[in-house]
Amino acid sequence: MIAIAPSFWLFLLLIAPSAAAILSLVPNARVSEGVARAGALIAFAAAIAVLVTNASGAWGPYLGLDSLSDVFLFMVTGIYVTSIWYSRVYFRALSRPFLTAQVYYALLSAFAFAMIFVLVVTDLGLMWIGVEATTVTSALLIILERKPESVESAWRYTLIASAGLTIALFALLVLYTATGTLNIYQLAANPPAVTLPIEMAVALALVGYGTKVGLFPMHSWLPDAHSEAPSPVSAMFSGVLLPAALYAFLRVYRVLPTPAPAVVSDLVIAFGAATALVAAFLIQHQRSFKRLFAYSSMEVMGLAVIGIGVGGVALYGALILLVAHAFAKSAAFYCAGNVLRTTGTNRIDEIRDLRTTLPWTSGAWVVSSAAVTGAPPFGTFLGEFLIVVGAVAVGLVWVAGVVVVAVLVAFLGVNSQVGRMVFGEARAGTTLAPREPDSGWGIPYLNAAVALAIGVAAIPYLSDALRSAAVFLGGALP
Amino acid sequence: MDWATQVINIVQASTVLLLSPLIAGISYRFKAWTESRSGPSIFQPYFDLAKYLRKETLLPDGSSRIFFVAPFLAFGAYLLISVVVPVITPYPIPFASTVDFLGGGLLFGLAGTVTLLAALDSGSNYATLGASRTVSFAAFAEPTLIIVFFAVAVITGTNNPYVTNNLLSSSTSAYLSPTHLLVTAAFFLLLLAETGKLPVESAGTMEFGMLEDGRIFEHSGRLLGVNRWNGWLKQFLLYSVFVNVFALPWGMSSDPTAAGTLFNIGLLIAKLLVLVGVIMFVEATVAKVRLFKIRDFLALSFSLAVLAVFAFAVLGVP
Amino acid sequence: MDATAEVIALVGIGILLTALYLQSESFVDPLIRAIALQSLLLGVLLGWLAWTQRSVDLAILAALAVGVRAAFIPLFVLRRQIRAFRWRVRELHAAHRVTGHALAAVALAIVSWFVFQETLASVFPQPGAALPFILLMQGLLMLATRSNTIVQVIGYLEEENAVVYAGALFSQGFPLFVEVVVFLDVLGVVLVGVILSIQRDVTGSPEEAVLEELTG
Repeated sequence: MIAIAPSFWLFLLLIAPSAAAILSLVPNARVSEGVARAGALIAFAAAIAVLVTNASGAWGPYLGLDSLSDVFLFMVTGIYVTSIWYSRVYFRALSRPFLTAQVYYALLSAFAFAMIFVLVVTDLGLMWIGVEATTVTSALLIILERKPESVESAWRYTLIASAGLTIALFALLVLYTATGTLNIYQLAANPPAVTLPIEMAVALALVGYGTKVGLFPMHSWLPDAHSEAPSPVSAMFSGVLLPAALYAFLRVYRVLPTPAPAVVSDLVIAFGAATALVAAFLIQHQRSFKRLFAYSSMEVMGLAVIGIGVGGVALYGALILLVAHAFAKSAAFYCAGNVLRTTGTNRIDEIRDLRTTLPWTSGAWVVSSAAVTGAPPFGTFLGEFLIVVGAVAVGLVWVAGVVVVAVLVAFLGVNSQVGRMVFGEARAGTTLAPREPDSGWGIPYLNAAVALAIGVAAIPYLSDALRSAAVFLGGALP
Repeated sequence: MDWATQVINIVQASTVLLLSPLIAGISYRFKAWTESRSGPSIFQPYFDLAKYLRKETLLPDGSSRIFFVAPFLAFGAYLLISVVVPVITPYPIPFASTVDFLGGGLLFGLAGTVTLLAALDSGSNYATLGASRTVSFAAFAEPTLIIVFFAVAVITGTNNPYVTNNLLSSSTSAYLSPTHLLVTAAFFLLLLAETGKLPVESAGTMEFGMLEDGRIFEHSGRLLGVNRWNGWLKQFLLYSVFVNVFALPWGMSSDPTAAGTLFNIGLLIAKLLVLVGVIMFVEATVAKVRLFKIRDFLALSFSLAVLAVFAFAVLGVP
Repeated sequence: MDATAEVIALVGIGILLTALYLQSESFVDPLIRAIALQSLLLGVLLGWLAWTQRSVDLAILAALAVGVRAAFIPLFVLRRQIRAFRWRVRELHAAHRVTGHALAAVALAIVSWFVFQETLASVFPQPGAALPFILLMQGLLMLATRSNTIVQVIGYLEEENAVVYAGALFSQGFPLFVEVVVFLDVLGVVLVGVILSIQRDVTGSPEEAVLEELTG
């Protein structure tokens, strides 16, 4: 057996999507799509190889892998490949897209490349560039459907995310001036003494990257961008863009010693709790189903941030929650895409009796909605349960209470709305004949199955990687 | 007591009293020129004053003693200020140790308050309107004045205007420091508002634009004459403080002889002419703002004054 | 006080003044010229530092500040957006109160200075080191209180100015700083230009419309 150096997978991860981004610009749309699919598949294969070999270590001053990035790479490339696959179905239904298929695939590949770049660089400055690059590459994707609302959403997204990231950059300036390096290995090897400036830098990074994660009150771009973007892009946003920004914050947070100073961890928990509660209650008032899922993502990000702040078992729970949620939420958005292009509306009130119109899609939708809101056998439930356990274990009972309330409220909100759309009685004469699209409903089942498998710890290497990532971050295992 | 050095007090007070109508007359003449009129003689304020002092004085029905006393009280306050701020000497004259900068500000406040009380005492609608307007804008102007004093104090570490004059005329870096530039700008804006210049107030008998003049609407004859003189004194004193302590602190002779004092008086008139020219340029180029926008104007002045102190704190240097 | 400290102090206060002016003005065209002036002041400061330190990086930053953020974006891209009605474009929704905004801006400046003194002053001990942080907060206030798209771009430019200011003055040696700033400028030029013009093509006006779908 030939031993392949981990650096090979690393370079493959970077080269496949970037080459796909460039080569997708060929004149022929079918070839372009094939190239994009090939690039995504290669990247996914490389991510699996990285996960299986448990690759870690630094290559050169700027690149490196460890168990945390292994887990996130699997997640990002997994959603990347399914989104590229689903894009064909979605793209075909568009009447007058703003971008040609070639530009669309190129931007989508570049978007994925930017996120992979965030995960494999070891310099916080480069990581910041990667996060900013995700904004550049994804902003135009939102406008695909050429509506005034889409333009306005893209506008808010660009502006708010960029403004937030300038704060993150300021945080890095402070960190660099205080420590003299931004390399995460050097920072880990010589952890700086905990001083007020370092704590302030972490707090600024929380606000800065938190804008991109969608933390309250910097979340205002999130529902707009998620609801106006085409569904494959919404899935990327919700499933992996938000976690990628959170990953960048985690790397800054790692500068602090393992039980982080109370003032910082309290701040992190407060942001997370506010986000989860606000999102959970906003879910109740949504009229568009894509905004419904956008707020659900915001709620899950709030819970994950709580997990990071609490630490210990809750940190492990947060990682499980993020990975499971990525797969479940992308499934929900693919279903939403099917519903949107079949019914032509995104208003919850105008959609009833989907089980006869779209039998397969509505099945997947019910399952994935239950999965994103933390129904028991899914990985999201395991993650949320561990966050509650972790919060109680360190004596933060009120935090556990917040998590339970947010989860219950969000669960009721999302599932009752989806239930009404799928099982509700249609008004007389408005029932549509069954017209399941020929494809595009298989992918949601696949992704929901992954979320389920994470919940029962049935994915061998991923479970190990999650455990070692949690330990690496200073968390505890149950 | 050395009577020779006390003479300078009298010289300075008389300079202020006698020159203030002249500066006002020059202002009117400049203003007329900018409007392509030939305008009155620069000595017109003296003629006006003489006329007022000869005219019969009428008191409104029901007014009390305050109405009669107030102009003289204000006049006394201005006279006292004229011997405590640097007008013609760069060195403290004997009376100057009575009060510091803040005390001078309080004396200005006293003069304004009694004028206000007289206006309320008159019972006239116009005078009361003028008083209420003045007070509502003074709510912004007075804090600005106090903060201007703080800013001056942080530059020199003392609240003595003579020390400030000395430091600014000797140190270029103190003169060009952000704190000083900002506080000068803030004080200039305040000066425009306090002396009733555009864009805050258009002088004259148009009652819509009237602030200062509204308050003395009911005074007549001798009392009106004193009140007018008070207005010119206030303008002269504020101008003198502005040129000597803020904008043009240079060149004053510290020679206490008659020759040195005469030189200083000439220099003061030259500086005031420059200032009057600048203010007339402002008046010729800006329009009057709406009454409710005056608050914005004063807020700008206030912001600049706060920033002056702030700049000192942030930069750590004057 | 040496010459460099004086230049830093004077230009820094000038930048702060432009920031406060930006808060209190509601018409768009003077705002565009004010942000151009702010970037120009920053460019002058960076140019001075580049000259005294013989630093190519700082010279590039100065050229970017003057060329891109003082000239190209405000005077070329943004002013073209309001070409037809330059004299009347202003904030429409927010009741813009000059006094309130000016005083709020001054208050925020003071608060952010206290925060800076309490937390970051030990890392940035230089006089005037709080100014970039104050500018950053002013930019955020602007983004939070304004609704006109062009004014929001101006807020973004102000944020970028703040970061460049901080990086160039007090965090020299930050890896890839010039590249980061180039990246920010590219983002500013491309996205702002492209999205603003798409917005005009799709909605027909730079004056914003209320979009019912995006509420909630």
